[in-house]
Amino acid sequence: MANFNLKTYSIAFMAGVAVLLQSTYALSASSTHRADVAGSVYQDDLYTVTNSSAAYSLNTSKIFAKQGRETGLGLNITNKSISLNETDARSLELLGGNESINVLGASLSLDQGIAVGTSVGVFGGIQDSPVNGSQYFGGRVSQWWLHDTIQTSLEIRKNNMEQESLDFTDVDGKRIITPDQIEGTNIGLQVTHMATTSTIMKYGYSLTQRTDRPSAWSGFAEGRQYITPAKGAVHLNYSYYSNVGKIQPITDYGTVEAHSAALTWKQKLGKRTLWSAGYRFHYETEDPRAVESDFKHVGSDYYFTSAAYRLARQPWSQSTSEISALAGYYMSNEPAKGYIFGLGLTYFL
Amino acid sequence: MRNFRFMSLLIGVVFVSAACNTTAIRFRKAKLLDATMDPAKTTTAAESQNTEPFGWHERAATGSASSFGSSCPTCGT
Repeated sequence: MANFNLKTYSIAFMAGVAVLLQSTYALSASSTHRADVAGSVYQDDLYTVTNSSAAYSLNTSKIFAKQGRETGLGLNITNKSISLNETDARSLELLGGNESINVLGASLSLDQGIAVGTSVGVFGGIQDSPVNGSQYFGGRVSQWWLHDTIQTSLEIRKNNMEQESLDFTDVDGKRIITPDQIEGTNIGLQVTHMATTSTIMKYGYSLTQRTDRPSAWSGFAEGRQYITPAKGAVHLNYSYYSNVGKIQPITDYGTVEAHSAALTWKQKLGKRTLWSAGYRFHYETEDPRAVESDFKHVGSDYYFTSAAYRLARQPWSQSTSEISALAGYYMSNEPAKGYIFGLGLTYFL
Repeated sequence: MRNFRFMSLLIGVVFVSAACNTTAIRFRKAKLLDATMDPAKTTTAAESQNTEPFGWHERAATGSASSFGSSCPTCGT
């Protein structure tokens, strides 16, 4: 079943790539082509994680020559390489007995404007690693309201994941057998409100149902305020995550409730540089279960800074290429202390 | 004649109202498209790496994120 799903999604994925390439060939230069590549390295006492990604997107209004009928195609490929810095038994178990693994992912999306301010889209993706494999597909719709000052977006997604089944005895003496296949559904709703001439507010809600765990839901709110005297902006966001309910003996961790908040300052420097610096605080409570019985409360701090340099003479137009960099320092009470460094390039053809 | 004046006044009010709305929308968009505010410009390619729960040991991030093909609601950066 797992191989069949992977094959089916691989064929669908390749067909999508063919459609994408054919569209690119058929369309003229007035379409917008965008390519993104990015990479990062994170290292702490336990892990070294190397992320790399490449994305291509095409936006064109040439297929349907009417206002608001823009078509968007997107392709994204990611690779995450995880290797252990400590090879004790518990760490090895996290990676399925391997000292290092690769997690390869790919996704494809198609969005279509059907009227001014209204768009619909479909998307799908796969992810594969020696520990598990997953596939997902879904649809989304977004609508602008009240003179383009409020946007609502709804997304529904079906997920499927195959993993190696674990069979072990819990600290309570219960026998835990994790399933080799998990299915689920995500529903997400997001509202963006242009509240004033210098304020953007965002609100989000998501609900996740999956066959091995209780339903999880999260709420999200973000405010962005432009500070005119400083010619910069402050971004503040807060998220709440709840995955509580009856825990069956088919999952290796208990109920989880979490709070996250982040504060970021964004500032233009000179004519072409956008700089930002921020802090994220996270706190979660987990009921002990099996191998995680030592961890009841996880708190973490994350400090980060980034910069982007725009490469065109009109540096702040929408379709301007840029190079970007990121650095961050993460620490939690597990304990873990880690650094991340990243580079990125966005290029418009 | 009275109907004509009324219709002219009505068309004038609608025209001015629409013009004011258009101006308001353009004004709002112009301010909110600043590089420090516009979501299309504030999320750079390098910053997209921030939303991956790389080595984080948080259930809210790892339990709901990429392995299950969904977003990370608490990554929040």
